[in-house]
Amino acid sequence: MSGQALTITLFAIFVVITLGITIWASRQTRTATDFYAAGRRIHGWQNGVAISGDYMSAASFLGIAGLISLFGYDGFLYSVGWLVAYLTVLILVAELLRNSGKYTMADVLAFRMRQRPVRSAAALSTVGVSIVYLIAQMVGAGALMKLLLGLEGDTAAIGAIVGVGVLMIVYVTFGGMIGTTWVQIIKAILLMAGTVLLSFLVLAKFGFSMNKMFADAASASGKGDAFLAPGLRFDSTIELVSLGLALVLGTAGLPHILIRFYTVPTAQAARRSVNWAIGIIGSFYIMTTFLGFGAAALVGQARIKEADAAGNMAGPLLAQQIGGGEGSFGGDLFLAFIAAVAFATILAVVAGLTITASSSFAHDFYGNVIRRGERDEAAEVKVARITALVIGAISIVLASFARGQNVAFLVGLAFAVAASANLPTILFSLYWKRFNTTGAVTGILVGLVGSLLLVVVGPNVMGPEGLIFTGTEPLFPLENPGIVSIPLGFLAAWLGTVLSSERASEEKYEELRVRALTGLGAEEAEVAPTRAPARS
Amino acid sequence: MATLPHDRRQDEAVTATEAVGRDPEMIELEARHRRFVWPATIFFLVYYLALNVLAGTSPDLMGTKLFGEFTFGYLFALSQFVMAFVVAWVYTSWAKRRIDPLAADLREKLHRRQLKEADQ
Repeated sequence: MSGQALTITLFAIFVVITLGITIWASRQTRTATDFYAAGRRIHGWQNGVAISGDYMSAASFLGIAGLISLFGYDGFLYSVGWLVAYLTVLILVAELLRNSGKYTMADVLAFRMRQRPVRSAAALSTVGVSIVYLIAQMVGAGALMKLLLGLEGDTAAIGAIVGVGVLMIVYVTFGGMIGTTWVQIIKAILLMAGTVLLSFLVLAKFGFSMNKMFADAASASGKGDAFLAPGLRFDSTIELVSLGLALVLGTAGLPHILIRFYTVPTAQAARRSVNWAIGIIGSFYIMTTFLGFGAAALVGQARIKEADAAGNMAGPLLAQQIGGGEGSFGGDLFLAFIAAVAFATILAVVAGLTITASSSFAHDFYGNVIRRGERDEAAEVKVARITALVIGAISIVLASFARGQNVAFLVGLAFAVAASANLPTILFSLYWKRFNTTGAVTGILVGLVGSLLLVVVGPNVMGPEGLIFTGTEPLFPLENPGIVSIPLGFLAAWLGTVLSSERASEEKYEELRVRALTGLGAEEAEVAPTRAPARS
Repeated sequence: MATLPHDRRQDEAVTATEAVGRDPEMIELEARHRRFVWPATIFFLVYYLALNVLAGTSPDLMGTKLFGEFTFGYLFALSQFVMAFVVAWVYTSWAKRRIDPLAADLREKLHRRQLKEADQ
C-alpha cells in the first residue's frame, strides 16, 4: 500500500511538472487570438512534431502494446496501418488543403459549394468523429487511473473514467485553449523519450536479442509460434481488409490532423511537416514491437488481463516490471513515470480533438450558419466552450459503456467514421469537377450515419459479446465497418452529385485547382476576412 | 448583400486566376500531378492491403520463420515502414523537381499580370 502511495505521489509530481512546462511554454509564445493570426508562421518541423503529438494517442501507446501482448502479431497490424496512412495525407491531401483552406476542414469542402449546408454537415461529422475518438481516450485514461489507484470493480472503473474525464475536459476548456501546438510538441517529445527508454531497457533484458524476446514472448503466451503469426485476434480476411482500409484512409479524414496544415506558411512546409511526422510516427510504431512482445514475455498475460481485460495497461505494467517489479522503489518510480507520459499523451489528444470539434461547431455551424457569417468573436468563443463541455460529457458517458474495450480497437472505429464521412467529400472536392453541394452533403451524412450505425448493429455493441444489446445476434458481422461504409460514403457523394439537377460551378473548380496546386491566392485568403472589405 | 460593390482587387484576382487556369503551363502542371499522384496511391494501397490480405488468407506463410524467430509476416510488416519512408522520399524529391518550379513560375506570371492590370 505504501508502494502505491509512492506511485501516486510520483505520478502527481510528474503530471504537475508536465502541465507546468506546457503552460510555461505557451506563455512564451502567443495567446489564443495570436495563435490563429500568427499560426501560419509555424515551421515545417515544428508542425511535424505537433502532428505526431496530435496523432499518437492512448491507442498507440496503450492500445497497440496491449493488443500485441495479448494476441501477438495481429496487434502490430495497427502500427503498420496507422503509419502507411500518412502517405494518403502526403500525396493526396496535405499540400492542396494547405493552399485552399483557412481555418477548419469545412473551408475546403465549402470552397466551391453553398456554404450553409456543407458547413453544417462538416461540423456535424467533425463532432461525430471527435466523439468516437474521445471515447477511446477516456477509456484509456480511466484504465490508467484504475491501475494507479488500485481500484477494483465496475463502479470504481466508471468512477475513474468520469473523474479523469471531467478533469481533462475542464482543463482543456478553461486552461488548455492556449498554445495547443506546444502541448503537442512537449507531449510528443515525452512520449518518444519514454518509449525509447522503455524499448532500450526491454532489449537489455534480452541481451539485445530480438530473437530471444520473440521466443520468450511466444512461450510465455502459451500459444507458441502462433503468437508470432497472424490469426489470434483476427481470423477473417474481410475483417482484416475492412480494418486496413479504415486505418489507411482514415487519417486523411481526421479534422484535428487536417487543420494542422493551416498552421504552416506554404505547401512545401506542409510537405515537410508530413515528412517529419512520418519519421517520428514511423519510429514510434516500430518500437511498439518492444512494448508489446516485451510485456508478453516479462509481465505475462495473466497480470496484464487482471489489470485491464483488454490489455490497455500492458505498457505501464511493463515499466513497473522493468523498474524492479511491484513493490520495489524502481518499479514504482518507472510505473509513475510511464503513467504520467500516458496521461500527458491522452491529455494532449483530448485537447486537440476537443478544440477542433468545438471550434468547428462554433465557427462553421454557429458563426456561418446561425449567425450567417456576422462575426462575433466573443459569442463564438462562448459557444466553443459550451460545445467542448457537451462533447466531453457525451464521450464520458459513452466511454463508461465502452470501458471493457481495447483503446486501439476503439480508435480504429473513429478512423472508419472519418474515412467514410470526410474522405470522399475531401477527395471529390479537390479532384472532381462536377462535384456539387448535394453530393457533398449526402456524402458526409451517409458516410457518417452509415458507419456509426454499422458499429451499433455490429458484434461489439449487439450480440452475445456486445456492450448493450446482448439478447440478439448482431445484424452486421464485421467489427470494423470500413469495407462497407467507406465505399458507401463515396457512392453517396457520387450519386448525390449525378442525381441532383444542380450545376457545379466550373469556374470555382478551376479557381480551386489553380489555388491548390500553385498556392495562388492562398496567402491573400489568409488575411482577408469572410466578407472582403473594399477599403482597409 | 449582393448589391454591394465588389472588391476591385478580388475581381481582378478572379479573372487573372481564370487566365492562369487556361495557361499551358497550368495544364501541364495538372497533368504531371495526375500522372504521379494516382499511380503512386494505387501502388502504396495495393502494397499495404497485401499485408492484411495475406494475414487473412495465408497465416501459415506469414508465420514461416525466415531468420531465427523473425517470421515472414513480421518482416513483411517491417517492409511497409521502409516502403512508406521510400515513397515519401520519392514523392518529395519528385515534387521539388517537377511541381515546385512550375508552381512558382505560374505565381510569378499572375503577379506580373496583376501589376500590368493595376497600371491600366
